Amino acid sequence: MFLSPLWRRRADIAAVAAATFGAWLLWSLYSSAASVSWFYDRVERVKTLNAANALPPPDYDLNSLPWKTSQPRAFDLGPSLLTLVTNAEPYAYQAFATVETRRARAADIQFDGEIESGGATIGLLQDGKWIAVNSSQRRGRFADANTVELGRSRSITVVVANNNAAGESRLTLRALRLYLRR
Amino acid sequence: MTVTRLCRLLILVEFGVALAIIVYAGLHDVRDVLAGTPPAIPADVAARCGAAAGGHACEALAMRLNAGRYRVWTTAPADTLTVDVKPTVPSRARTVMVRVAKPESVTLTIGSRAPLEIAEDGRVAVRLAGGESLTLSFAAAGTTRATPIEVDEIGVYESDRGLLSDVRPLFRAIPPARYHVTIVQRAVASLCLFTVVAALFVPSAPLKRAAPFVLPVVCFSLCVLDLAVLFSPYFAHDLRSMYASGPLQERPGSNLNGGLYQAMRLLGGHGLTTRDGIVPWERMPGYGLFCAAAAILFGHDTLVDLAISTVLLQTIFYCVALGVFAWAAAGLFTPAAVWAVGLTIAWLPKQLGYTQADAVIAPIALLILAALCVRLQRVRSGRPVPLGVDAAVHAAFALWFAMRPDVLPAWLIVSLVLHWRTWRRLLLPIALFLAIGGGWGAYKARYTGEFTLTTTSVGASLFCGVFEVPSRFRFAQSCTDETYFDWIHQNTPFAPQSAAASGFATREVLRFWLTYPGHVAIMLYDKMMRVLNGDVWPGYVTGLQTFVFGVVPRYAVVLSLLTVVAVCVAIGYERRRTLLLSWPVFLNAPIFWLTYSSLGRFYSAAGVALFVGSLPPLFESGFYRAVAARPWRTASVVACAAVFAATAWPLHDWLLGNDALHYWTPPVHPAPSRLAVLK
Repeated sequence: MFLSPLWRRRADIAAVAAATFGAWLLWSLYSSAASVSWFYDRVERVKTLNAANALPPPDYDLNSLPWKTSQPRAFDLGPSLLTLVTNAEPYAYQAFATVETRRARAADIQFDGEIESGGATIGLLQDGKWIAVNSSQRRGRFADANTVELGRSRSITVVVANNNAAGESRLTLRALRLYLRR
Repeated sequence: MTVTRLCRLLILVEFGVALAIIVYAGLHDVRDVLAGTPPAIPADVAARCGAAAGGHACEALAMRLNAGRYRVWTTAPADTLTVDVKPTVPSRARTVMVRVAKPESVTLTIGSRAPLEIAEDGRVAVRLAGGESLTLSFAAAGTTRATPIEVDEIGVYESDRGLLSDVRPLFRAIPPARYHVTIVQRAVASLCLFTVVAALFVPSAPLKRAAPFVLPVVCFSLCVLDLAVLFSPYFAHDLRSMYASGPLQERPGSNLNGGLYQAMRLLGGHGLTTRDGIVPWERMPGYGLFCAAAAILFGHDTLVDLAISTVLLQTIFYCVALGVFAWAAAGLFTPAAVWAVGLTIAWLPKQLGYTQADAVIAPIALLILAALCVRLQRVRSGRPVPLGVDAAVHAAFALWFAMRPDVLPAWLIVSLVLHWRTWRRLLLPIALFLAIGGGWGAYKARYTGEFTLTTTSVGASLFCGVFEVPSRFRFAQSCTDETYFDWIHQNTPFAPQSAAASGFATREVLRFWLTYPGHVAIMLYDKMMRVLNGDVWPGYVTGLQTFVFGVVPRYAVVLSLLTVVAVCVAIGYERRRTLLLSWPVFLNAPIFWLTYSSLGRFYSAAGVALFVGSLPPLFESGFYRAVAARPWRTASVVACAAVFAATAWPLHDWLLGNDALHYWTPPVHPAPSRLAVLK
């Protein structure tokens, strides 16, 4: 009974649906490409953050992050230097720091360190999922930056993990800066 | 204005915007596909190498990719490769670009600068100071095993703009791999899909008039988008670099360079040969002539230039053929159906980046189908079919025959179906067959001393076809030309390329079929299932196609389309039209279940025809009325298709694992067979 008027006007309904679908499609394509472009643009900007470029003060740095550990062999936090010797468990989290997002829409992370052996992953977790990851399994300098749009959760976690399938890794971090963008 | 009219107007605007985006996206990549880089500063290069310790003497060679860009490599393992680049205007040389293919890690020293380590197979752009020495020294890194040093690209430029990423007005920050492989391809695929829906609401008359012109442009864009991903200068090898480092390093006459060498030699006055005194034994002359036409139209300074000219002509040919088909089909199908079929064909995976005859079979099939559409329209209107229309049908068939002889059985059957009441018109195909076959046979006879109307590779094709299905036979899944040549040499005194060798192989294969009927049944079934599983659309799949195939498996798409064809036949809806337009599915593809199918690269015509035969009924209300009028027949066909879909692969697995059937030899004892050798 309710369907018969709809059936009579099916051509009109189809036209409305197609027009709406087209408008949504065009907008969503532009919007998603713009969002990805924003991300990479941001990454480039964050990567240029270094001491020589009048570094802005971060929301958190190596010493102000509330670090907790998960049984690494060594975790030594000095002024502007973190020395970490991981345990032998491959890919396990070793040190992490959870902070409030303070209604930020995006987070930028920038770090500078040295891998002495094995490999390391430095990134951000939100709601238990990786939202930004930088990894290396090469000895030598490990310096990079990343950026990410944040979800609704009120906290994010900075994580340093072992990235060595063969066991223990050793690294030092000279700097780690977290910027929360509103 | 009512809401409906407003919506239809909006759809028209969205349709236009979608087309504009699709066309722009493709045209943006044309330079990347055809040139591979921005214009380099014209330069000469001189290369020398230092042999690896304890190795043979090496030689350094260079091949021009385009003006100012070269591939440079050593012929033997080397410790160093030194390249002197001499630009015509040294003061403009501000950037040097290199891409090292081998070894994995090298150091690059430019003039007196500190060495630079290059570890990845990607482009590296180094800024130069004005007037700097352009002697580039590549040295294998200490830990690397001695290999030849191969620099796939080397050139000097005024700036690094456009070398590491394409220059685009929007979304510049997105890396090229992410932009081209994911974002653009998905966006374009979804817009294509939208236009198919929108075409139902666009006014019919303008769409009918515009489709033959707009579809080729859209098709060109989609072709370029595919090529830009498969041969990206930024995250793969551009076409010029790919040809210089791959096909043009192989012996003349191999799959991807045979036509190029033939064309180059033809234009140089050496005949349609691949080397002095050598005509191809396994090919018809058409593709060499096609390459020669490309050379005349778009240039052939080097073999690399000729390869690019050929790829360009193949692409244009595909687009023009689609336009011709859209024009011809407009008289037979609804405008929305023509749009859907045309766009789907433009969207399908293609083989246009490869310079071999298979790349042009799909557009030739489109020309045949276009001519058949015109003919069907004539017959439907009750008017006599003019000789010119039949001539067009057979000329298109003849074009295929000039490229590949596998069309002959289908040409014969279609000709008999078309002309069984007007048998005099059979003279058309006979005359064309004799003209092409006879001409090629006579030409080849000057070099080979034997006259054959087609190729002399039937035996080789049947031979390798037997072993494409998994089995315990000696040559199983490892058959090549060399395997065939060795086998002929072991068993006969004939030259493997000769008609006598082909005849011997054919007889042996026929004996093998009789000896192992179970293997033949499994072979046919296995190859049929591969076609149903998606081999019917050969070519490398990109994001354009995975946008659909990632959601709906190709097996489901193929079976659904075949079910539509079967329903049309069963209920008598446009039965003749459906069967005639899908002839390659039934008369061409099955040939390769018996012969060599080469991972499905010969099936492109069947893939195109499957859409032409099955999609249009879905856009016609008469089809649904016919289905409603014969529900039981329709239901039976659909039920059979569903049962087949559910049981076909389990049956396939059972057959492949059933040795008792596979190696069953009831009629003929296997001992006399020279093929029935188990591992």
